[in-house]
Amino acid sequence: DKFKALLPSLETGFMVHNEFRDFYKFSFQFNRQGTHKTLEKDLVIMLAPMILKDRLPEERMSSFVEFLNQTTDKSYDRITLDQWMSFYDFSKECPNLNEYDEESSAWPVLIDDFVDYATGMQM
Amino acid sequence: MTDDNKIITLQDGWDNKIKSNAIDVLEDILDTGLKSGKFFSNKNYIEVYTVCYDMCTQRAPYNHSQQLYTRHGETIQAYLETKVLPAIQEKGSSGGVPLLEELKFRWENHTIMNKWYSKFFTYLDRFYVKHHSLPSLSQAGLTAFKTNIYEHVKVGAKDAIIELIDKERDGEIIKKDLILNTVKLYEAMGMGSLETYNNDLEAKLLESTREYYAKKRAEWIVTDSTPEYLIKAEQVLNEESNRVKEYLNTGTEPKLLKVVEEEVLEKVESALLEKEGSGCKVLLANDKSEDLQRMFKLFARLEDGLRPMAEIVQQFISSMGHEVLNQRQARLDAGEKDKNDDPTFVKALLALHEKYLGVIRTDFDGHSVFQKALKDAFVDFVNKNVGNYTNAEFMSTFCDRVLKSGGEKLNEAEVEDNLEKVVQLFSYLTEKDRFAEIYRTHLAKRLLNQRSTSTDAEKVMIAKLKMQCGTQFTAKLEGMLNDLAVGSDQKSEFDSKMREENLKIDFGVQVLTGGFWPTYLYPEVAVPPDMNRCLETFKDWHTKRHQQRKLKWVFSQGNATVKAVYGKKTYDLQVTTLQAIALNALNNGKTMTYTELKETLNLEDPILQPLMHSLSCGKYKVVSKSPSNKKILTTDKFVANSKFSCNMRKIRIPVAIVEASHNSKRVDEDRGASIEASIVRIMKARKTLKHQQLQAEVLSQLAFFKPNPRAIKKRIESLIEREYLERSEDDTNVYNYLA
Repeated sequence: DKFKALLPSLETGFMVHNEFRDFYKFSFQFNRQGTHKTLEKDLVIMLAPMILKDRLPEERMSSFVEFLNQTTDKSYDRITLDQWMSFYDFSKECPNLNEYDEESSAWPVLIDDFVDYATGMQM
Repeated sequence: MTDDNKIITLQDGWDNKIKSNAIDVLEDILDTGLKSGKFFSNKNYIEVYTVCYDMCTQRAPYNHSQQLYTRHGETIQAYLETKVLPAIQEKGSSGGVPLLEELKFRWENHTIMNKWYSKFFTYLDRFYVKHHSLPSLSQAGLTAFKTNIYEHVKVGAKDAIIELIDKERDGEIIKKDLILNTVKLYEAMGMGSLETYNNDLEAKLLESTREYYAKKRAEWIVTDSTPEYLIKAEQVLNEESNRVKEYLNTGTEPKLLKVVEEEVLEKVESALLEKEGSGCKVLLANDKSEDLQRMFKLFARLEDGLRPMAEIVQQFISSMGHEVLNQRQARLDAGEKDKNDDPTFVKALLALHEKYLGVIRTDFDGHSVFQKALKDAFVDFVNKNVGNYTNAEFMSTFCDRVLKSGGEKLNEAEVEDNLEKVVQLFSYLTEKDRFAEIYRTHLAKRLLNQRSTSTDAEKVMIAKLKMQCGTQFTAKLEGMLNDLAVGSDQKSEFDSKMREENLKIDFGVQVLTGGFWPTYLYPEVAVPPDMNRCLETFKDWHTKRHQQRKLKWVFSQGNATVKAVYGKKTYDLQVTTLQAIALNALNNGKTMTYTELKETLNLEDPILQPLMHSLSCGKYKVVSKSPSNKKILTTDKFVANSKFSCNMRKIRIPVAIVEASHNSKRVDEDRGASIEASIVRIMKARKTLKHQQLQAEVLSQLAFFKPNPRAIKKRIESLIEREYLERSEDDTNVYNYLA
């Protein structure tokens, strides 16, 4: 919440890619609670769009949020740093989901599941 | 006798001595045939030889070596040109047998002539020829024949030979030695090499053979069934092989056979294999062993001949296997209960394997390409499960039947045979670890309940599995057997200790080494004092022997015999430990409610309910329940059944087991751990690796199951979380090992 309050006043628009990426990473780490190394899914759903505003296409962000909201996979109740970072890196590297090749990729399974969902294959 | 002083002139020597006494005589004999005896008497021969000798050793200008050498050549040439060639051309004008016969005659003549001239002019060979590095006399003679005769007739002769051979192929009887002789001529014309024979005869023969069999093939493939065709092919190959032996040069055999194989077999292999009604598949389906053997032998000759055949065999076996799966499905569809034991199914699989193992051994000479086909076919369908249970489980329960007492009734040899066959089937499973886990559970039951037919049989099976999969795979199983062996060793020691203590109960303990055995439940049941004394005695004794070990009682296992006295009758009830403790609580006609029992015994519902059910609602109601329905409710009351009666003295009261489906979970957990261990091993050695390579190496390391790519990814992610690995900053496809 503290962070949320802080965020609107932070203009991240000026940051170049690498700087922003570090900031993005930091925002995950800052919001961890207690001894957890992961973030609650709901927190991620709220946080990511805020931070990634204007950095990613609207469509990508909203479909990801949708995916997280509807998934019943318990392993996604908490999101790891790896998954958090991968979503950003993946979105930068692969703007067109239809070109995604799961077999040759090393992205976390979360991304694979997300692509399946977004390209209309409900698993 | 020659006059040493008299010089022989060329003219004189040649005309009067050599020509008249040797050359003319010889030519005459050759033309008209030998009248009697030898060509030349020794006396005549020596005379001519001497003249030649003299003429060559006379001092210059009377040394006539060169002229003699030249005249030798000219004489032969003239004879060939004027006498021999015309004769051949006349007699052999229409080719065929007459040509060959005349040629044979003339060639034989020439051989004789060449020999005699060499004999007469031997001295030339010794010195003049050598000194001037000229062809020897007989070589010159041969060359003369080649140039003057052979070159003119070689095509005609070749045609004649080929014509005869084709006739013989069509079934006519021909003059084989005529061909043989002519072949020898061609060979000789090579003068030390087979090139002439190869180019002038062999090559053309191969061509015409090819044409001949191409035609035959076109006919046969339409009219004949595959077995019929193959019989013809076999015959034809034998024929050609014999043909070479009879009248051709041995070097021709492989080339000739290759041509026949190409035309008769290779070019129509697919058509033969796939022929409607008689192709490979049909032969397999009808167990046409002889035809299959022939097919194998013939196609084995071709360079890649067996592969298409093996493909068909593989598909066939695969379809037979799927048929077995379908049969099982059909039984389930017809209403048969789906349980974890299906001996019919397993036996069908074993029979199928046995059958085609035999076919491969007998019909395909055990050739490796077919063994692989069998393996690939089985791997294809053996991993397809029908119904709720896996094939791994069926194989395991089948083993259980074979190994436990009261299962299949088999003698020792049959037991081993069955086990051997199941292990072969097992080798095709991808999920071998699942099999192992289920096998372990069954083994534990057999061992703990003494239901194993023979310890030797158990060892044999484990040894077979060890051979297939290595020591690690069978370590736990061996550990279990070992526990039992140790237990029986120590039993007598403990028994004497028991006697010392003079306890009223006959008591035995089996110690299990934790990691080897399946996981059991450890209900903390309240043990009655009599029993407890036994437990304590054992614990003391054991601790003295093994200070380091920690013991934990597994009350969910174990058996007891309870002596139950109902009125005048006494029974021996064979029950589990927990049942015994429950019965003990109800001793002396005591009534207890469910809740009271639960408290007194300290047992949870999932255990207590089936327990009480077995004593009061089963076949032998040793305990009465009120109300007397089949459900166990907390409000029920239990008391020993005073009206209990049975004809038998010894009664076994079974109880439903609570544990079973640990299996699957356990296997999945172990798999996760194996994958991770593998990833860490690989990354530690390589330090940095691309994702695809890591995945490939992991798959190649895992022998007992095949995880899908996402499963591997999940474990990678887990390791990233725990900071064993990290993603590379430069390339998202690459991982780095974190020391």
